[in-house]
Amino acid sequence: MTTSSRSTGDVRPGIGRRLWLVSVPLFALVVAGGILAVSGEITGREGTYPRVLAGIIIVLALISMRSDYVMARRDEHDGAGPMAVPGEEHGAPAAPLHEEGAEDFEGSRGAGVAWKRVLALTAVTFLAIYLMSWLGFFIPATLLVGGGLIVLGVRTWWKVATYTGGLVVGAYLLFVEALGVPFPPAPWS
Amino acid sequence: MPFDEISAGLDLLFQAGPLAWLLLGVTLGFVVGVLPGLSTSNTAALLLPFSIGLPLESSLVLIVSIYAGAAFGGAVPAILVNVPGETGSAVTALDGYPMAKRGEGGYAIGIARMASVLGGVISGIVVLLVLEPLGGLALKFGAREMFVVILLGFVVASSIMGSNVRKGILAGVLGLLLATVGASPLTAQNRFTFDILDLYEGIPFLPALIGAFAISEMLLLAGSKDPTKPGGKIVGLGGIRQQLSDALRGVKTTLAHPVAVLRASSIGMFLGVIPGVGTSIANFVSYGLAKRQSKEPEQFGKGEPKGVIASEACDNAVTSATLVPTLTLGIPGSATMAVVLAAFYLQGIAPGPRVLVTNSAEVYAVVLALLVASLLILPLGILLAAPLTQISRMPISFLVPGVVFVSLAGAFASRSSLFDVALTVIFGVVAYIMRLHGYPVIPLILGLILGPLAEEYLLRGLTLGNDQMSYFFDSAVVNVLWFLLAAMVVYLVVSGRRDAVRRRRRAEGSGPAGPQLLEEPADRRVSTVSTTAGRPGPDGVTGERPADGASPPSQAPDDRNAP
Repeated sequence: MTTSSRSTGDVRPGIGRRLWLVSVPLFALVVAGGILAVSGEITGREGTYPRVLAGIIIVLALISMRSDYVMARRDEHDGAGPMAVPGEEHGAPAAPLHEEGAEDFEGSRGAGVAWKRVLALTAVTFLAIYLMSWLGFFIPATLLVGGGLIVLGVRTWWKVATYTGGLVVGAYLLFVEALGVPFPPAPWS
Repeated sequence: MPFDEISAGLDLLFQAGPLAWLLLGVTLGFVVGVLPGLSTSNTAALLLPFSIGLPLESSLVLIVSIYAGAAFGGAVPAILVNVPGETGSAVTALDGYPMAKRGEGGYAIGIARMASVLGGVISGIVVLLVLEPLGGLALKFGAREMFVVILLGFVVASSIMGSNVRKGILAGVLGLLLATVGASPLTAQNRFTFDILDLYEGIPFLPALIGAFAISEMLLLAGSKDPTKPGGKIVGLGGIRQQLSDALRGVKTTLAHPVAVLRASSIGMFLGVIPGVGTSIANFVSYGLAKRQSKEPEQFGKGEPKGVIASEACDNAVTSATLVPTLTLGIPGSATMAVVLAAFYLQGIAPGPRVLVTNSAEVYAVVLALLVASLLILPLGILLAAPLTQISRMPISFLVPGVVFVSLAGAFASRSSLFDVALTVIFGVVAYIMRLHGYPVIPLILGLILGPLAEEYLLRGLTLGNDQMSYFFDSAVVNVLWFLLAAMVVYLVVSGRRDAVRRRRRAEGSGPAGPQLLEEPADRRVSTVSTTAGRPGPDGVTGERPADGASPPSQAPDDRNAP
């Protein structure tokens, strides 16, 4: 995803940034629309209730899409700087509005976020969850903790190994041995 | 006074098990309070799946005692490092840190500790007294009244727990809609399950809660500037003899200002009862009033003990007071209380008007646990303050993977389901994006928790009224509630617009960086290193960065106070 411009104000943002600016109401709109689309088979009041809620969300989401977009553009124009888009390292430069002591209007919208780290951590987490159904809980958990440490900038190998090993072994002893939580077992056990 | 119920609560609490969990909870609360980046509500959410296996009273006691411990714990790094461990403690730093710089860090902690104890105890006693009459009043509510009460709670929580009414309401209604997934309440029709077996009982709110609170918080931390950087330089506390001497001085100073303690506790109680206000706003109000009524207001912000008292007594008073709406109406007074509410539901108890009838002993045990936890702050605080200050230097890079791992383990442990683990991360990512855009996530979770109840009351009301909506306007009590709801909406819309205009004017007048605060000397500012300050809390609002006692608080009402 790219931004159409890094200058403030007057240039219309690219489609990626526009979608990002309205991502929350857009998500709500998709959920509500989806529920409305499949709610036909539910009969009686128990179908009416979610349909009414979905209708309310659609109205609110449409209003919010417009308001969020206008507000973001106005903040940009006022000098807050262009808004970040996920996938870019640090997004756009940190918006001055959110420097220390500054007012917060509408949340940071991702400005100043180290997106590569966030996306890498999320990817490592989802990968670990995917592997859990194949390798049990604790081997992917080792990947999660170790990978998480590396993603977040810990480069000293013994620190990574000690912390990961200590945490995972400690968790195994606590959850499996002491509390008896039936975590998915490793394939050989 | 409900002596029988209180006595039953005491019987439940004063057993080896609950007392041990109470001790553990307060200690954990200290750790959480001291540790920037991990909030009370996050920790409570993380512990929730593991507490299910405990006896009912132990489970509830553990969750609420974390709250009390954290309320004081956050003051320690605020005073010593100028890094508030929780947002409520940001006010404590205004005078606590200047005291620490003068070499009076231990003394400031002593004052904070005693003020916390008194605030918690005073508020706890008042809560014990008012719970029964308020609960009795709420008992008169039927299905239609409860439906409106839930709506009222949503509007209040959606708005006060965020900076924008529209965003809060959208998040809340989305939560209500997601709560309709699964079997319907009356005829058990499958709704929106897409043949996924794990959804037949609905979207489980525990993974959603852990994701929205803990995972989103960790993603925010991961995206912060330098996660490997430890917290600031710690001011030493001296040896144990010095600490005891400081503790004693702190006790004496606090007791020498009974009016300041009572005033702060009263403000905390009054504002704490209002759902969503939380400690950060209450502490600022308390501090502002103390400053205004002082004969030497110019001393505030320069290391005035009364400033520390105003913040800390209020902080702990709020903690107990938030139990009132949570228990009597089922509307959580703060983010941690949303977790407490979830803990009740997981144990099969629905907080609300009837809870004092069905589970009065457990309810009073919870209130008493908060009271005893407040008392425990004194000895435990003396023992643990020095070692815990070291924890505040833990880099985010180590905290984040550990918390994510425990979150996933907790999500799995509740139903032994990998689906729940994935759901946790999905909710975490959604909540993270919401928080970046200033959308509060607490209403979303409230919607999931209270949604089934709201639907049930609505459908029951419709049945009682023969499908006539007029039934919902057919009694004096319900009309009063509708009026309150309408008045609240109008007030929030008007005040929201006024605030937006004011902020915009200020921004336009002073430039984007808010120079009135940036021009403060660096040592007067509360450091934001490794804290939630500057990052949107679960309430969807950026944590406050107070630079001056006169600075207006940003709304960060969660008990960290900022889920």
